[in-house]
Amino acid sequence: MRALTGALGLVWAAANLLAAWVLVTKSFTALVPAKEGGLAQLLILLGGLALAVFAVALGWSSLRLALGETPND
Amino acid sequence: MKWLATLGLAGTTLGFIAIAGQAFSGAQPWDAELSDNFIFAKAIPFILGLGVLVGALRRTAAPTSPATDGHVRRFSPGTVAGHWINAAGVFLALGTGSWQYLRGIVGVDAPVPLYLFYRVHYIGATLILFSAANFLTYWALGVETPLLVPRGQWLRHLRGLAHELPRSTGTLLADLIGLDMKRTPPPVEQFTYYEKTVSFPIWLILIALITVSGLIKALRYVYPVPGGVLYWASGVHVATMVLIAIKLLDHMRYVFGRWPLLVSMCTTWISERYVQARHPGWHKQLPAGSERPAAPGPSPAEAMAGGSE
Repeated sequence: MRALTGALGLVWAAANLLAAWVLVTKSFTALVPAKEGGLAQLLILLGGLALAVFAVALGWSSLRLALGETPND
Repeated sequence: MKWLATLGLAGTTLGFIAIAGQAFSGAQPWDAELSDNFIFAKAIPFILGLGVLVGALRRTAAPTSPATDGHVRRFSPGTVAGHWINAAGVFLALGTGSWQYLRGIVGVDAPVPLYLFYRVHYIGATLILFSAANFLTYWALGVETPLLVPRGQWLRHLRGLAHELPRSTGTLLADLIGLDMKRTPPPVEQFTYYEKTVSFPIWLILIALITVSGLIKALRYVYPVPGGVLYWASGVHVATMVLIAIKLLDHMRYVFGRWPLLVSMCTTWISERYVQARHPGWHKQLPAGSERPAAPGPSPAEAMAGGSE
């Protein structure tokens, strides 16, 4: 059960990393955020960076769970 | 209470029949997407009413055994069911909402019709609305609030939080608000200080923001909402969606590192050994072993954890 949960966590972390990559790389280049203005673009960039940080943290936690390195107690 | 439940269920059923009767009569000039919009907007009062009813009925349920030999009940079965209904709603709404937002940025279309995304999004929103009404009613009708910081206890809880955080972050927090880190940390009770002072309050705020902004967006199908209000509601909805995605990652990271807590949210049970080691304040409040009923056989927690707890 731990391995399955860890694997699902890794998939979720990877999907969020992909979303973070889109937000970070497109925040100042895509047309839609540009229409919203500089503040919206900055918020998208910050949101993408925060998403990436927490996705990496979940990935690490999921990997440890899948490999059985998380203590029982 | 049975008459209230019957009345509530009958009202909800009649409401849904009336909404479906109008939407599927063949007399409406709506396409699939607009039809879903109308169905969802009109169903909202009945979804909320059903949540209130279920929350009130949960309060009338007989109390469950708090502990058996070797295991302690951390959540009631109703709380576990409500949590996973809400979780399913968050995953469905977040997945479809994120796609809608990101596809606008990258300028691509999915291979499936757009209205299907909205349909799944509304199913997710329905589950979240039901859960919000259910939990708010359940908490409003009770006296115990183990996830909330009691009045006058914030400093003590923040000191507990500072001890739970990584040393550098905890020290920074202690310096910022003047905590005495030399004092013995307060014992952890049913919920960790991180859960009580950081996680739960953030979840409450985010669910409130996404619910209210979503309700305003849906309201436009039954009431003329001013364009300016709609603009801000849409902005808040999207920003909250990103924050929920971040908080969900943090939530999963936290419980994945504390496996027994995740197990307890599936089975309601947690091992007493874990409680004694990690939640000593809660362990002290539990009835002594001789005052507990005998264990009813292997608990679901043992089954899920492969007997390793």
